[in-house]
Amino acid sequence: MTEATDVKTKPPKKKKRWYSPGKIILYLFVLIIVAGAGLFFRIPQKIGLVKGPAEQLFTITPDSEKAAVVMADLQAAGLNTQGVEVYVLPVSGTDDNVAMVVLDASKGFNFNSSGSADPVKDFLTVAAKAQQQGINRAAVAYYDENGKPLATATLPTDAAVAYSQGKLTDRQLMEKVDVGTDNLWAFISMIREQLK
Amino acid sequence: MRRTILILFIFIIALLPFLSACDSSDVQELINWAKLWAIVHDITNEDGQPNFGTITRFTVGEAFGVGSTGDKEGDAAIDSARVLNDIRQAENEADQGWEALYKGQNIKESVLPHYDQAINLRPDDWSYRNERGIAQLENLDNPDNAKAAKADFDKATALAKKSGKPAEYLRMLKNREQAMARMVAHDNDINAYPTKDMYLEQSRTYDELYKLTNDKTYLLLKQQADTNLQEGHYWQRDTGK
Repeated sequence: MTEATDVKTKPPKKKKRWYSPGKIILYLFVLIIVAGAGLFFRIPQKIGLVKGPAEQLFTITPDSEKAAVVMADLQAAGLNTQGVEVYVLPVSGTDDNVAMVVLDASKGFNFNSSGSADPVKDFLTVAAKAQQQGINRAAVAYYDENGKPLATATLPTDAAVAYSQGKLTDRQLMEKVDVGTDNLWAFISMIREQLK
Repeated sequence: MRRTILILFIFIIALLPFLSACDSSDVQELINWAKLWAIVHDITNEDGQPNFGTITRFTVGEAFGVGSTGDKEGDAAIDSARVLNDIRQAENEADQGWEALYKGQNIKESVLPHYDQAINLRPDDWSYRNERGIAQLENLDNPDNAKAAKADFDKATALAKKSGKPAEYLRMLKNREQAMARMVAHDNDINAYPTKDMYLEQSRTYDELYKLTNDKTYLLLKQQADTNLQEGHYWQRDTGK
């Protein structure tokens, strides 16, 4: 017997596989988290990988003549237009136009001094008239006192026309209205601020 | 519904109590419409109690921006914040550029950078190309100003034609014509002459507008620009006229 036979050799280390079931689940989990965070923070849009619907449709030069008509209609409806801007955006590849009415609190807009008993009804009157300008959708975008966009409401102008003709009830009209935001946290912050 | 439910949830639950305290009748009307909207869209019931099922169902869509109004233009209107922001910034830059041009400030240093920025923000918008082209026409310090202006006008034309709408091309030409007319009127108001390049471009634009619309006003305006050219009522590089 030699001494060498007594030396215990270490068992070979098990090579770690990257594809063990546990690791695959972990990788998938991380991937889902990263993808979710990317979507949540709109990373693909921010780095230009994905174009949002607005960036796809609103590439054409805004129609300042139609915007001036809509602005005049807002004034004629008795609305205080301080801090109000109007952009009529032609829709790429169609004859459609979307009128965006910006209510910017950082430039002096204030609902309390809008000069209207019912700003929604006044807006509907203007939206119905705007259809004569080839505008088939109207939207109102509200900007806060820091000039940040908070929320947007939109409806097709034919719904406004139907409402003005008494063909739609208040409820039916509201079914046609969509509301949204691109800046949820700013919106929540605004509410928190207001509630202080 | 895109990004609506969570917002309305927040709106109804958190904002309304605050707003309800406001005295203003127009805000009250707004609240009433918002309440009706929430009921119609099943966010709350008739008593104002939130429907957590609906809210939960759509919160994920709101948070990750994967919902839709079911209408492309509706989605675009709601998602328009960034585009509107670019438009507003570009308009602001263009206004500053035009103001600097009116004040007779150095075109290369004080006018063109504003238009460059506007074009950077809205590369497919022909109005900023038209206005930068007009600024180039006025820039006698640049020996290649007419060439630079032509490049801008050609690009504006290409962008308008790219839309595939004849009306868009006409709108672009009218925008260019009106902007040049404003500039010429301004030059006249301050007892200055427009540049020769300005009148040449005016003549071309009026001619094109006359051909497109058959409106004789444009023919008369073209003749007026041509007369100004013939009679030498313009500034030209190095002549100091």
